Amino acid sequence: MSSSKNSTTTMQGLPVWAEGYVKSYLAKGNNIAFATQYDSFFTVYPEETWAPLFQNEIDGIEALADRGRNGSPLITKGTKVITDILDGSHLVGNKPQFQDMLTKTTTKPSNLFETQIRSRVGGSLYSIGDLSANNQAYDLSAQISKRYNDRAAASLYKDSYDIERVNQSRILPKAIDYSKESIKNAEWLRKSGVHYRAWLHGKNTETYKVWYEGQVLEVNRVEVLGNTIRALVGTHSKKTVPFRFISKAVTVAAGAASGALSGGIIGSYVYPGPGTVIGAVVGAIVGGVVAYFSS
Amino acid sequence: MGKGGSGASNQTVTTNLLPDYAQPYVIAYLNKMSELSDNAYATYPGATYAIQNADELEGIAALADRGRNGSPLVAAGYASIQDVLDGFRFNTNTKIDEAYVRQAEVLVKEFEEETLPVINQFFNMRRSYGAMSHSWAQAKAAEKVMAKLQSIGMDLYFKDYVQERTLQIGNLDDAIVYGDQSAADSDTLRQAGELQREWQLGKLEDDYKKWHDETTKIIKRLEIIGNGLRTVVGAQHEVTEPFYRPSAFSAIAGLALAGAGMYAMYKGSSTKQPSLGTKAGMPESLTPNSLNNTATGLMPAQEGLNPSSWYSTGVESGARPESLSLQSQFDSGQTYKPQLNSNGINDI
Repeated sequence: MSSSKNSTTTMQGLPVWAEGYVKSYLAKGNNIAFATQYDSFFTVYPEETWAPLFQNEIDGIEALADRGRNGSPLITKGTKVITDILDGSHLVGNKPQFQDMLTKTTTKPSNLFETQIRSRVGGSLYSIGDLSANNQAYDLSAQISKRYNDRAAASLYKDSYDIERVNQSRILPKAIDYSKESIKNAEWLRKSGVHYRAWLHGKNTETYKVWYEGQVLEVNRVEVLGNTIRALVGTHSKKTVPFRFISKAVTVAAGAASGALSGGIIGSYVYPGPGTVIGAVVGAIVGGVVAYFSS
Repeated sequence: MGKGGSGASNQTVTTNLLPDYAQPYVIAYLNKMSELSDNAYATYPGATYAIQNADELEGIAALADRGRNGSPLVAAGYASIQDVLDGFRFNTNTKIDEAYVRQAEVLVKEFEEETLPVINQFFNMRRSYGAMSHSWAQAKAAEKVMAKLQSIGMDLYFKDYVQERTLQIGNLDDAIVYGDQSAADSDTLRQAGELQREWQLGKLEDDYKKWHDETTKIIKRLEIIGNGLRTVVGAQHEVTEPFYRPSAFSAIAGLALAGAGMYAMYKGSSTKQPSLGTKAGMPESLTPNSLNNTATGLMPAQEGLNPSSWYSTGVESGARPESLSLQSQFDSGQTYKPQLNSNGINDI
C-alpha cells in the first residue's frame, strides 16, 4: 500500500564563489592532457644523460687492473730476496756475489804478496860460487799465500753463515708484509672492476630512466588532468536513497474517509436524520477528489 | 528532490569554515594565483652550470700526467732499490780496491825499507848472512806481511759485502712503498679521468634539468591555481536535503476533522442529556461525580489505596504498603501505574 521515489542529499564542500576558478582549472588540465598544441611538452629527452669514460679514466682503470693482476716487479724482486734468505740459499756461500767477494779477498793479497813481498826475499843472499842455486827464502814462502787464502775463505764462509742465520730471523716480519701484497693486488684488481662497473651501472640506470620516461609519458600527461580531478575529490557529495510514501489510492481512501466523517457530523446537525448519510456521502466524494488532486 | 505524495522542498544548511571577513582575501588570493598561473615560470636565461676554469683544467691535466708518467724521483728511487735487490751493488765499490792498494803499500814499503834491511843487518853482524836461518827469517817476515795483507782484504771486501747484504734487507721495506707507487699512479690517472667525467656528467644533468624545467612549466603553472584551490577546499560545508511536509489537503482534512469534532462536542455539551445513573439504572454512587468521593463512590476508603494515606503510612521514608507492590497488583487485578519515589525514579 505504499510507493517510493528517490530522495537526494547534496553536500557542497567548495564555496560557490570558487566554482569559476575550479572550472577554469579543470579546463586547463584537460587541454594540457589532450590538446595537440602541448604535444611538444611531452617527449622523451633526446640527448645523452650519462657521460662516457674519458681516456685517462680508461687508462687508469686498465693500469690498476694490470697492477693488480701482475703485481709490482720491484716487490717481486723483494719477494725473491726474502725467499732466498728463508730458503737458506745464502748459508752455503755459493751465491755469485759472495764468490766474487771471496775472490777479491784472496786474489788481491796473493797477487800483492807474490809480486811485492815474496819476490823480494832471498835474492840478495846469493853469492858467487854458492853451491846452492836455490833461493831458500823464496821456496820457504811458496805456500804462504795459499795457506792464508784458505784460512780467509774458511773464516768468511763461517762468518757469512752466521750473518745469514741472523738474517733469516730478521726477515720474518718483512715476510708478513710481503705476503700481504697479494691481497693488495687482488683488491686493486677488484677496485678496477668496481670502478668500471660503477660507471656502467650508472649508464644502465640512466638508460633505464630515459626508457621509463618514454613508457609513462602518456600516463603522466593524462595524470595532469587526474591531478586536477583529485584536487576536487571530496568537495561534493550527492546521496540518493529510496524514499517511501503513501500511495495515491490510500491517500484518496483516507481523504474520502475523513470527508465522510466530517460530512456526516456536519450533516447530522444541519439536517438531523437523513442529513447524516447525505453529509457523509458528499464529504467522502469531496474528500476523495481533493486528496487525489492534491497528492 | 523527491516529491512523494505530499509537498516537498529542499533544505540547505551551510557551515562556513572560513570567517566571512576572510573571504575577500581568499578571492584576492585566488585571483592572483590565477594570474600567476598564466605568467609564472619563464625559463631561466642565465647559466646554471659553471665552466671549468684554467686552474681546474691544468690541475686535472697535471694529475693525469703524474698518473700516466709517474714521478722522476720515484723512478730514480725505484731503480736504486731494484739494483740493490738484484745484487748489482755487490763488489762494485772501486774505492775499496784503491783503499786496499794504499793500505798494502804501507806494508810493502815497511817490509822493503825496514824489515828486510834489519834482518839482513842482523844476520850479517852474526856472520850468518845467507845461511839457512837467514832465509827462514826472511820467509817468516814475508808470512807476517801476508797475514796483514789478508787481514786488510778481509776487512775491506767482506765488510763491503756484509754492508750490501744489510742494505738489501733494509731496502725491502722501501721496495713495498715504491712498488705500490704504480697502483697510486694508476688511481691518480683514473681520478683525473673521473674528474673530467664528473664535470661532463654534471653538465649533462644540468642540461636535462633545464629541458625538464622547460617541458614541465605548463604543469607547474597549472598547479599554481591548483594549490590555490586546494587551500579553499573544505572552507565551506553546505548540505542540501529534501524536506517533506504534509500536503495542503492533509492539512485541510485535519482541520476539518478537528473542527467537526469540536463542533460535535459543542453541540453535545449544550444539549440536555438524560441522567446516566437513574435512567440506566446505575446507582447514584457510580455517577461520575461520585468517583472522587471515597465515602460514596467506586474507590472505597481502604487503607493503602487512598493516595493520601500513602504519605501517612511511610511512603516518604521508602516503605510502601504491600498491597502496592507489583506482584500484589497483579495478584489483585489492579492496573499498574508507575509511581515515582522522592527522587523522581520509578520505584518498582
